[in-house]
Amino acid sequence: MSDIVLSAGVRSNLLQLQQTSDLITRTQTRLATGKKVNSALDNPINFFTAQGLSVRANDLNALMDAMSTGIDTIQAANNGITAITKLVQSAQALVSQANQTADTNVRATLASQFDALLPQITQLANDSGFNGINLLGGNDLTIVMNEDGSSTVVVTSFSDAANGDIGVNASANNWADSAAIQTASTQLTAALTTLRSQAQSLSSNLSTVQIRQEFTKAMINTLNNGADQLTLADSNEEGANLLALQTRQQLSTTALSLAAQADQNVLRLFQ
Amino acid sequence: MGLKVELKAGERFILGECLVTNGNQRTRLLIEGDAPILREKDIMTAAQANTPAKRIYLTVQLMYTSRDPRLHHETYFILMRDLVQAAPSAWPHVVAVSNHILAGEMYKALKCAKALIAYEKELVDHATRGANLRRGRQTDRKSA
Repeated sequence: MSDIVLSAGVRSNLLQLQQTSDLITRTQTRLATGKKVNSALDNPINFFTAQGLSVRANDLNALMDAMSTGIDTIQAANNGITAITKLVQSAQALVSQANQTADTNVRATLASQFDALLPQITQLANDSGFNGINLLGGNDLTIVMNEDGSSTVVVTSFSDAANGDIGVNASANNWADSAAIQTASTQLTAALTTLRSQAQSLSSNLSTVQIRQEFTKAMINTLNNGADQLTLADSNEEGANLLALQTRQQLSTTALSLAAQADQNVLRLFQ
Repeated sequence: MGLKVELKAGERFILGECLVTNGNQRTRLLIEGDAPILREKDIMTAAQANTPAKRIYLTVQLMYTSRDPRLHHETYFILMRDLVQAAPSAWPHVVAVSNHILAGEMYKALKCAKALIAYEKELVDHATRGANLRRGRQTDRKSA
């Protein structure tokens, strides 16, 4: 079984945001002089930097769709694993019924039901794809995070065939002897453990991508805001704005909720 | 390779979800693993966070020390938007902090947030000094 690896994507930053930051650093010296920039004629660099910010925000916006599709794909795989887990649990029920009887006819019936369940697991695994990518069927998922594709998140697939990875074999000897039932029982328990760990790693990957998506969304908003504001910067005014903001924040609910959050954190020990 | 922490007598620091207080002698500790570690001098309490940038620092610190950083993302963005609207030139610092959060490098994000506090102080000092200078000029003129 190959593990899901959410590789460099988590560590790699959104490249274009960094580029943006570099661009702004260049213009920062001009801002420090306290000059206002209202048109391209006043200060071409700031003006076009602001425009660049908007363009990049739009590029990011287009990538959001790809991220949503990626999340759907992971969710589809997760649903598949949930359904397979249920099938394995039904198989377990059959095994425990077989354990409770000594009647070989009953055992043979249960064994044939058991054998009928196994192909369903394979079919389920094959049907867990979304948009042509099936993480349970050997397709890797790549989610692109920036416009030139240099920053990506790769979710590697694992295959979940009934006789392959989850390692459950068809019933032996019609379950006439207890040893055969015991073997099936052991294999099923192991399969459940595997499935749980896969579901766990999928859901943690899912939340990682979701967090990143939400963060990017908020980042886009702020990029747009920044573009609007950059041309109006004036360091004297900024200082005054900050003082005003400081007063305003003291009265706002944000400061209250922040204090409440800090109170629930380990930080409370420090007071 | 673990992190070496040297503590003065009675110095405190946060390790994971615990507060560790040093006894009455100097101590040198070697800490391995990836639990959040925060020294006393880097810790900002809610009461101390009384400016926009300090509040951002506090939010990043909360993300660093909590199990689920997502809880604090919303607050972070509210504060960040306010700050950027008030002082657009703080952009490079804000972007640096955000990039580190995005990459999950919370300790580096905290360092950048510290730079943001310094920058904010610079701007505010500039504004108050400017106002004082102007006031000073007026009184000069009156006395003349």
